[in-house]
Amino acid sequence: MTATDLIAELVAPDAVRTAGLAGLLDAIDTRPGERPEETLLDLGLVDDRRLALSLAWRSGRPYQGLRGLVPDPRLFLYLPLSIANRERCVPLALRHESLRVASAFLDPDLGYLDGRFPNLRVELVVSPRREILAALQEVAL
Amino acid sequence: MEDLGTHKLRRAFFSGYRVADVEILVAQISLRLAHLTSELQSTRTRLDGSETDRRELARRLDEAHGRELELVTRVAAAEAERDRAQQDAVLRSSRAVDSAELDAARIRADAALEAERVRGQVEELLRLREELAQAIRHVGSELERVLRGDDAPAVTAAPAEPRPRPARPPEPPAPVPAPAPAPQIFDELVEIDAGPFPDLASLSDFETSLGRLPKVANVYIRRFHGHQATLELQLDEPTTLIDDLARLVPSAVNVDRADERRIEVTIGAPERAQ
Repeated sequence: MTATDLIAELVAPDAVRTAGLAGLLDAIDTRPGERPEETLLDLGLVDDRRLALSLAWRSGRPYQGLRGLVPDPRLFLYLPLSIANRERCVPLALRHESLRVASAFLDPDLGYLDGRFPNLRVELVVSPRREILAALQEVAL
Repeated sequence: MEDLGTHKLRRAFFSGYRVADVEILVAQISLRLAHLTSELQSTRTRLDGSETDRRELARRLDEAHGRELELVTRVAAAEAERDRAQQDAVLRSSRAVDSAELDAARIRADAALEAERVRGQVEELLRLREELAQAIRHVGSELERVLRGDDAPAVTAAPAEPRPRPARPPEPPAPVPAPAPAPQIFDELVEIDAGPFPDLASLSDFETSLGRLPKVANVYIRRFHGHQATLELQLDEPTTLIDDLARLVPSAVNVDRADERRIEVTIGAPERAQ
């Protein structure tokens, strides 16, 4: 999904009218190295729940709401908190050889898991970024 | 050697100095010159030897410096190799410990789950055994009653167990007109399993419609996958929902199952406003 697709689908029409489509794209270009979705969320142009639902719908992955979730700290032995924060992920459960991970985006870099636990299968679900960060905050506390 | 300046030249009778004195002086000067020349040669020879020694010492010093530099380089390389090996060992041991701890945690969790499952099975078996004993006691009392030829039903002690199971199912009661069912009252937190949703807009519309129902404080999408969604409804107080669902939600809703905390509905095509 490109940034233009995202803007066209998710950005509130009022925001497009105010800033203009070119202005929004310029705002994305000013923050190289970040996901365009992240910039749109930070600027408040996209609702993170709508984005998560849209990503889940387009990718066919399950959507999972995390309200009230208290993560199991032991799961962060598999996915360190620093990587989880960086990739906007939170591990939810471990069943046999499968680790269920909630991610705010479709392409988190979880190469650490491949290198450290080559037999562990990662099952990704999509969740709103705000709820993921709130869950990670619970762990950090 | 005597000092030439102390030699006295005596005047000759007519002019100059006496020849004998001059010849002696010249001889002394010659001798002194030869001596000095010899000393100079000797000094030059010693100087050449010293220079040779100095060069040899300088060469040896250079060699010592070179060996020292080589040794320092080797020591630095050895220290770096030692540090690298030490870090590698620490990293490997840390990984091994982490992996072992994770395996141990998993094994403990699996064991706890297994123990819980076995405990449940044992409790179920105990319950079944108690029910079986109750049934046997009941059959025994029935048999005694039949053997006594008593037509009246046996009066047995009230079972102490909370869940007695009769040997035979009771006769079904005669059909009576069924009263109108009481409306289902739902708790303050209700889960609604709904679907299929053809697109996200229909899910959003459904969520919005739920939020407008009376006494619904909050609607939250908990799960969504494969066109099926699970929504959580926070109610202000326990209330009936199904009638409101059918009446106020634009999508055609068919309630498949419902209990106090969960409703399963099938979403049809939205009704068109006339």
